Amino acid sequence: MPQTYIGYARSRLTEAGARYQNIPAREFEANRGELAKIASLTWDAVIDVLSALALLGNRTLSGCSTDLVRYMKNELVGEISSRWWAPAQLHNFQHKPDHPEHDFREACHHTGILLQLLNARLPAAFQLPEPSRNWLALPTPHRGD
Amino acid sequence: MITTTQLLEKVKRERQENPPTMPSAEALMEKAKKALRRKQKNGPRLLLEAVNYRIHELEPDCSDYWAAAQRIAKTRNEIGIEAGYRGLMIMKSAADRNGFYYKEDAELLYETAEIVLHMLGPERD
Repeated sequence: MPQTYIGYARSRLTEAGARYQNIPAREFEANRGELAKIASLTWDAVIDVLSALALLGNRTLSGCSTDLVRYMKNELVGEISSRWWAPAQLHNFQHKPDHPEHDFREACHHTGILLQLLNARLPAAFQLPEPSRNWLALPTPHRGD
Repeated sequence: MITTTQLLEKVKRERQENPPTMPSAEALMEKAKKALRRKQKNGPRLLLEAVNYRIHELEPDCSDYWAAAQRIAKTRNEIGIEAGYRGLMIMKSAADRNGFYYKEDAELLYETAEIVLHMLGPERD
C-alpha cells in the first residue's frame, strides 16, 4: 500500500513538472488555470508521500488537514512541520485569484524542500526519483519585505 | 460617595492583589487567536508580534526580526525557524494586501506560529 501512494506521488509530480515546464517564462497571469492544476497535483503528491510515510510507521491518516497537521507536529517535528504552510498555500491557490507569482514560486520552493525531507525519511526502495520533484526547487531569492 | 483618597487606596489594593502581568509570547498568541477567530484584520500582525516577542527575548537588541530569525536558525542549526518565519511573513503580507484572510489561512498562520514559537523555545539537545 505505501508503494501505491508513492506511485501516485511520482506520477502526479511528473505531470506537474511537465506542465510547469510548458508554461512560458513571465506568463504567470495568463496561465493561472494551469498553475492551479499544478498546485493541486503538487499538494496531492505531498499528501500521498505523507500517507505512505504514516503507513510505514503503522499509522493511518484520514487525509483531513487537522489529522495531517497533528501527525506532523507530533511525529515529524522540526523543519518538516515548519514548512507545512507551503504545500497548504498551493492547495488553496485555486481559490486565490490575487496570489502573486513570487509567493507561488516561494511556496513551490519550500514544498520542494519539504518533499526532499519527507523523501529522505522513506526507505530507499520507496524514494521518489529526483527528476520528479527537482522542478520545484526553483531559486526564489527572498524579497526584503 | 467614594473620596479620591479612598479611590486611590482601592486602586492600590487591587493592584497589589492582582498585579499586572508581563506580556508573554503565549499571552500574545492567545490575543492573536481571539483576533483570528473574530476575523479581525490585525490577527496576522498580532501572531507575528507574538513570535517577534520571543525573538526579542532571545535578541533584545534586534531591530530586524526577519534577520534575527535567520540568525537564530543558523546559530541553533534549526533551519525550520527561518522557513516557518518566512511562511508567516508571506501569509501576513497576503492578508495585508487583500485586506482579509480565509479561515484556512487563519488556521495555517496559527499553526505555523505555534511551531515557530516551539522551535524558538529552550534549546533542545
